[in-house]
Amino acid sequence: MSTTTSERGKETGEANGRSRLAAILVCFAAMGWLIGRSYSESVFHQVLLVVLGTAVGFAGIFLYTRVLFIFNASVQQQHGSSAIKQTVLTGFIMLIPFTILATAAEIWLVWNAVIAFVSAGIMLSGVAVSAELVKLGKQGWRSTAVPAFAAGLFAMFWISIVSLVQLILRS
Amino acid sequence: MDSTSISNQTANVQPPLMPPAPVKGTIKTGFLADLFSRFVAALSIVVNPGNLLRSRLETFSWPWAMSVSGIAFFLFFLQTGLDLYRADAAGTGRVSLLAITGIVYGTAGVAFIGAVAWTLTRAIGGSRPVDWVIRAFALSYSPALIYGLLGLAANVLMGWNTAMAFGITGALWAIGPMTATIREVVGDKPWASLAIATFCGGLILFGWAWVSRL
Repeated sequence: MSTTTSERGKETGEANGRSRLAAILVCFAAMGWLIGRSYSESVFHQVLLVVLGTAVGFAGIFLYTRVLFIFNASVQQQHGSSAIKQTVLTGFIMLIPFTILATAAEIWLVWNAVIAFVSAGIMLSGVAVSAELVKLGKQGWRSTAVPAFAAGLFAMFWISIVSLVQLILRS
Repeated sequence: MDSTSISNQTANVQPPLMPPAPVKGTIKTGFLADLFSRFVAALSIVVNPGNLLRSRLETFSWPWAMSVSGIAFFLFFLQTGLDLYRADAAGTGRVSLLAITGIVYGTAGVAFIGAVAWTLTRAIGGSRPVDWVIRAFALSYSPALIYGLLGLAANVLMGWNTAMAFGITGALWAIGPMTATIREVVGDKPWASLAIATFCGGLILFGWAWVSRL
């Protein structure tokens, strides 16, 4: 009976994790599209940046999770194999407000400031991840400084690659 | 009574008129150092919002909290005015008016948005008082204050247009602490917290765009 309940809990957690990952990837896709449309009217370029934004976002989430695995192995031992993954996915849904506001700012106000939204969104997601790790009882620089610093690198990684490809497409 | 217990009692007795002995590790600070240390404490709303919201928010008075967002928006609007001035789209009068508008926006405006957020949280089971939410929202703009100072320096010293690069980024950094505040009020409802924070963050951000065009 208890095994069935824990299995159901695990399934629900995995389903939540999948829906969160889907929401995060949609955010990266939307950011890629916004950057594409602000520099090019070509549908091909925009679709390419959507695919690139999603792929780089997915790779970034994967690498980010690996970094947290390395620095917070004790969390995994105490809370199960998917604890870090769930923490990252919960923290990164923080991208949603930034994506919505970036879309509104680009389409209605034509601000050309998607990069500011992306960098703030990813870095604040890192802060949210560290808050989730602290909630799991993990204290110290490995749970606070590492997620925030790694999120800064993630933001640089995403912005650099997407901007570089967009520059190549423009030239 | 042995000699050890007597010496322990003697060690615990303090002369009544003596000033408290300085705690090891603390430094005698002046007004500016005290202001700085309080600002650093306020800044912890970004890196560790839970700790500040649960145990230390009450130590920040209303005027202190509102002055953080007031100064942050003063700097943001001032940079907007300076950008317009450089583009010959505004004179010194309009720049001054925008700066004053920033103070009003950062105090009355942020208080209003905080009250809107509080109303929305009440609808989904929030129990914190309205002044708690407003103070937390005002302190959320402490990173915007830093961005504002850096942006103003870049604007004046290097002639850059900084309202978008520094001002908007600073205002965006408030969304994280705002989400944490709402989550603290309504409990573990991440989607509801995100929806309310998006709405309130959007009101403040796009409100700036509207007000600065007037």
